[in-house]
Amino acid sequence: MNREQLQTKSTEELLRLAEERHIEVAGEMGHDALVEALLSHSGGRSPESLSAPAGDQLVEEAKYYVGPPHEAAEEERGIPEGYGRTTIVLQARDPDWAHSYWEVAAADRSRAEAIISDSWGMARRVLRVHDVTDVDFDGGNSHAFRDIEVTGHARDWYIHLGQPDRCFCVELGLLLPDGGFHLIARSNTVRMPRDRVSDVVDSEWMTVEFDRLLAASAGPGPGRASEEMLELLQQGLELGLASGGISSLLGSLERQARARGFWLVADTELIVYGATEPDAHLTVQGRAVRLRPDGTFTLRFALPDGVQNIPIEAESADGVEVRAIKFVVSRTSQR
Amino acid sequence: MPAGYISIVLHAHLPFVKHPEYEDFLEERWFYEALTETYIPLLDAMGRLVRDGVPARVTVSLSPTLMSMMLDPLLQERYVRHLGKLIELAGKEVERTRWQPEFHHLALMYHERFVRARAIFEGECGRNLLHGFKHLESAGVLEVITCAATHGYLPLMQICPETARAQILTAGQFFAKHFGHPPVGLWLPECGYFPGVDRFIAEAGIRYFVSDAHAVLHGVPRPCYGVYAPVYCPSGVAAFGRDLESSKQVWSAKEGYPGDFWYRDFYRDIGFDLDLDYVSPYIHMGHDRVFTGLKYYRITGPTDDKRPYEAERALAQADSHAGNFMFNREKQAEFLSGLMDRPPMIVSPYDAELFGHWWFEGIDWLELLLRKTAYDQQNVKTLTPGDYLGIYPSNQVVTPSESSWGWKGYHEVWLEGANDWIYRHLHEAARRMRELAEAYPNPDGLTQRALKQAARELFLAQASDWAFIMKTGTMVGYAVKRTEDHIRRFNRLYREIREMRVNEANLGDLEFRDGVFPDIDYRHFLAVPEPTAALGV
Repeated sequence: MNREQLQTKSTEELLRLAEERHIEVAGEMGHDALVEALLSHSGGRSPESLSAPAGDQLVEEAKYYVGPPHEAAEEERGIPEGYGRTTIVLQARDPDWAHSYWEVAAADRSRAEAIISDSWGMARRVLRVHDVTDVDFDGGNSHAFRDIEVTGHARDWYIHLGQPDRCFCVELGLLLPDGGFHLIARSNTVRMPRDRVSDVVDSEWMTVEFDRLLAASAGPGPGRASEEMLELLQQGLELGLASGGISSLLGSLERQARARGFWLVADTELIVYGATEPDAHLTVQGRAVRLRPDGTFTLRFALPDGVQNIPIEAESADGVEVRAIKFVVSRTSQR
Repeated sequence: MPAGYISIVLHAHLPFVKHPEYEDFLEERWFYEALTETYIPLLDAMGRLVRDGVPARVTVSLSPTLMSMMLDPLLQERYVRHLGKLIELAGKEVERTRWQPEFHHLALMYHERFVRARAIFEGECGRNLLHGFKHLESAGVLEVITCAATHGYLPLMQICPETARAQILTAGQFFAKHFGHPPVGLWLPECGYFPGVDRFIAEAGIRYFVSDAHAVLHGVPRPCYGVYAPVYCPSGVAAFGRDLESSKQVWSAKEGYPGDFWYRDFYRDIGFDLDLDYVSPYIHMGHDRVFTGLKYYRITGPTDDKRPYEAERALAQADSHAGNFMFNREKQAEFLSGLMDRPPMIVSPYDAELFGHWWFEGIDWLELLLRKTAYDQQNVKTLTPGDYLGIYPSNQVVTPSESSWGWKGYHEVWLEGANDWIYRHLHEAARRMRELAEAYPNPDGLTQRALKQAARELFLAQASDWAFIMKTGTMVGYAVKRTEDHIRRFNRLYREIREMRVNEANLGDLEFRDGVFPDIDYRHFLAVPEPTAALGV
């Protein structure tokens, strides 16, 4: 596809093309910028080669060809893999663990790939985790750091820190054979959640019974040492004393799995039906039954074990005539 | 003066689920079921307390998405239809069970309940349940509070704090519009707290929030009263920590009241038990079996051989559990008051849907508890957090600790293998929303509509429910679809606004489908003002 062809496409279509070709699209890219990106991304090949694959590739693609692509409805398309911006984000998951996700834009990725190939594949992709507690981090002044090697395909990572209430920052980069570090992206700083009672005591609000109040706060039981209390609080958290909102509502829309293996349930119902004059008065087992406009009726009963006497009586509207039918039905279960 | 206070806080929330494009949409049933089994019976029970002049105070948080659904004419219409079908089914059941006395009286009970629900919904509330809540608020039994706009999980918005702020400010304004005054309190979604989020709560003019116990216990400096008195965050907003002892009595799967063998079994439902032809008009699309709400068995024990439910026996059990709960609170308050120079505040927060929906007898239990507490003893008194701050305006200043009430107490439920992929999209959309708010201070009419809709799509994508559902592994497809749909709709609006070619037809369609918060102010997504400017207190 050449420049002229691309320019006739709508922005929407260009975005789709870019997505198909795994071209990172920056958020603010307009129509022209998209055309340029598509053209420049043909990587050495002439722009035309985008739509003119080699012979064998054509055959391969034809297998999957099911007709001209229809204009997919907006609702059916997926969401982008990424957004074409180099970024890394760090979030605490709990006092000990954090999660980081990242994205590397095309330009930064090819730069990194060039460095790796220049180093004969010796450079390694790493997450450098810095302890930056109470530090205005400038890249070199952290208390300590360690590297976690990540694969080229990884886009996120769970990091065990094990240091509650301290601050961390991660850098995505390349560890070079000479020990140098090529920075690709630096994350925000996160303070990990606390996991214990503070040592800081507020003299204005000091109470002598603090330990006992604390112990009571941690859950039922007699007063206990504060270590024991911490453990108890931890157990309480493991219990998860929350239903999680709509979880019971979720359950009501899907059948519960049965705990046991093979099974059988069966039951019986009895349908009593008939017809009479539409204006007649009808009773079944002595109870009035409403007739349909055409004089028919249907009753449905759960039929348990035992004998049921079912007298049916119809009386004409003028009360002169009466007709009666009686059923005797019995059910016996044998297991 | 009583020895202590107990504060029951019920958090009512459902994600915004409305699909006008379908005649019968499965997930809309969440709302209908919760209305029939929890919200309406709750209004009914509280109304009886008012009628009988029982002095009681209960706090209810209504999430803005739930309020939006209660206000929605289409959902109101659909619920009336749904309830009509339920009444019809219960009527058939009364007939069908004539030879089974053990079920017959249950069919009659359900029929009566559904007819009563219709009388409250259509008659007393004029289809808008908020009228019912407002009435109970002014009658003095309820303190109604708000929640974040779409129940976004705020601790995982720390990278884009303006969206956490927008969630809170939008909720405060939405509440004020419908209740005629700003909310006094806010339920943090999933009790998810991070230091600093209280600033936004203060900015919204809200005085308190509820957190889990360890948010307060692990606060700095040490909270001198444990969780038995609120603490003030540095922003001046009060944090009330959850009492674990009373929580456990209700929540605990093993020891909690709802597991009692006499209580109604949640899983046995005629929607699954009866002949398909017979239940077909009352299930999804006529062939997908779902719960109808008519359930005839009791928990019985760890067996599949369930025994018929005996309503009177279950009510007696609820009565005894209410007495037990009250007795334990009395003992607890007595013990704690010996250690404190003021009465302890025992805060017991629960999901509202636990009562009535999951624990069928829960609403009866609550009503009995409130009646007993009012008349059978003097040691404890029910109180709302707002009332407490009126009595004790002076409290210790503590920065609570980052936490939630989810499993393990932090963020793992909403940040784990099944759902961690959503954050790169949510955060990028948040960044873009802020960019839009900064770029368009004075947009033209169409652009302004598009900006508002973009804000709605971002909010809807942020609902904590989607991540939660992905984790639980039930109905995952719907949660993934909702996340992707809103992200995609947001991104399309973003592109169209940036390129100044907003597609009005598409915009109109989104406003129709995802029309929450008609008055949303997209400027809430501007960068968070500096603390001094933001506080104003």
